[in-house]
Amino acid sequence: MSSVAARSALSVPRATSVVDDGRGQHIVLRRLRKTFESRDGTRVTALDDISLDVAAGSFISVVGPTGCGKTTLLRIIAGLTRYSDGDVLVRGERVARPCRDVGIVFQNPVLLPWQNVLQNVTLPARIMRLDKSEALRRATELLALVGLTGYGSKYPQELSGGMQQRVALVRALMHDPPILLLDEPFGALDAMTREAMNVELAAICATRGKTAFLITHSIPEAVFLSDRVLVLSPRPGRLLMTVDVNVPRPRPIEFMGTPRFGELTTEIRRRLGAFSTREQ
Amino acid sequence: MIAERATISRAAERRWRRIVRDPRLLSPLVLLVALFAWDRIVIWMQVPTYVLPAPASVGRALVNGFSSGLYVEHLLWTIRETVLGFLVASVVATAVGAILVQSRTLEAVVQPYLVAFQSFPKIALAPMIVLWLGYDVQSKVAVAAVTAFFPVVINVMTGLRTVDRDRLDLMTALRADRWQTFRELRFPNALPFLFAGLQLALVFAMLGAIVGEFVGSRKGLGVLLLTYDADLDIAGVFSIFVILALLGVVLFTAMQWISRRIVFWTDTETIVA
Repeated sequence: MSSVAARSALSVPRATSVVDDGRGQHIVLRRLRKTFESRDGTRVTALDDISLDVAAGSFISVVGPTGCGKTTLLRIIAGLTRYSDGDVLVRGERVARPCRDVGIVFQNPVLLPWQNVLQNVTLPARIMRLDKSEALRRATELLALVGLTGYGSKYPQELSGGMQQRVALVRALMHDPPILLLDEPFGALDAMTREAMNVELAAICATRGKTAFLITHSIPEAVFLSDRVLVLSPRPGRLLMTVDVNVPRPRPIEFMGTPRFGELTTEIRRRLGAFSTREQ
Repeated sequence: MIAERATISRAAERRWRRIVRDPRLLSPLVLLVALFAWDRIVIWMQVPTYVLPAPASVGRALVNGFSSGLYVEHLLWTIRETVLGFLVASVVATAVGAILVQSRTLEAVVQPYLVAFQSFPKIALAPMIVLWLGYDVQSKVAVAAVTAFFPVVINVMTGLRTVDRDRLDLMTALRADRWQTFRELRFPNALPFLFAGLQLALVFAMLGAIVGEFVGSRKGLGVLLLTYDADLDIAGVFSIFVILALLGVVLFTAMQWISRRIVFWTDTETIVA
């Protein structure tokens, strides 16, 4: 029964037109291409022919070797980097600049050292001119959710790396965006903290119905968290394979011990291994 | 028993070493040794007081100067000029720096003039400024401000420009407007740089004030210095040196204390002005 529920989230019909109407799909990419000029003047293709649909409420991960353009892909969806060809739609709107339907967690926490935790997390509320008391209430609630009650008046430099990244997650959730873009958010953390953060993230996304788009280089992390894992090839980044996990979310930590988990991670590893002999 | 005594003496030795190596104690100690050597040399070589006075006569000049109230009056006058000049420079330079970084073109156009102005000796301007603004406090404030202007404007511009890429991306992603980005990111980001500049500026302002007083003034430590120089009262001259040196240290330390409290998130000393 539960796997049916998971599948139904993914069984939204794929659009065949060049430009999707965006209904039901939170992120739509059509034949996306990104080229840039390298220092010696030659054209380099970073991303090539990428098409994908991210249904509302689903969790999608992108894995791939370093330099395959994963971060570029996320920055394009976030409206921070221009794309060269194709179409990018977020909630049916063509992306030309950043969109406030999106909350981003960067690789680094990117907290402002002169603002305390409370000021840092309410930054989006100040910039979007949201109601102050409502913002304060939300900040308190979200900080409690990530286990940071009582840390509001601390400064980022007084917190551990894991705590800082939690603050960054709260800040991304501050304006209640339907979509979360996560760029290797826990990459700098130690394995244990990272696992705990993944469990927290899975719970938050599932209970709040967020659409999540996660960039990672950890295959187990991608399989554990996602409905679907996209595997990118080394430069130019192309879609190598799409893996549907088909296990309801949020998953207990025991999921990592199941045969299904092993099969999926091995399948992805084998596919990526064929490409990279020198990857870490 | 013996072993115990040995550990105590070793601990005492360690403590003694720590005290001796403590710069807070070591710096005054260096001064004392230097004063003693100076005193001995002057007496031993029978140096006449109009060439090099003994520390004792400098001390006497200081005591006399302060007890008669003469030094206090002039010192306060110089402090007043310094602080006013510093404040004018801080406000104007911060505003100018903030305006210049708003446009790349504007910055590129003004930059050569700023550099030209910086390399120009401010002392050469002092007589003209005194001519324009008179012998009163205004001309000295102006010379102090002109001298203190540079470190502030350069540091403000550097601080407003050197913003972390990731932080700018964050602002862009949130669709912050120019003013919001300035208020939340660029301005606080510039504060450590600004305060590094202000620390220098305060001492520069004092030097400017003295230069202004040299050129033309009724009051101030610079005037006192000129008077003693003309009277060949070298002990008096040295006593003013002592006051100026102490004033410089006090001003710099006070500014450091303030900046540590305002820009608590960085170590301002790591920023090179």
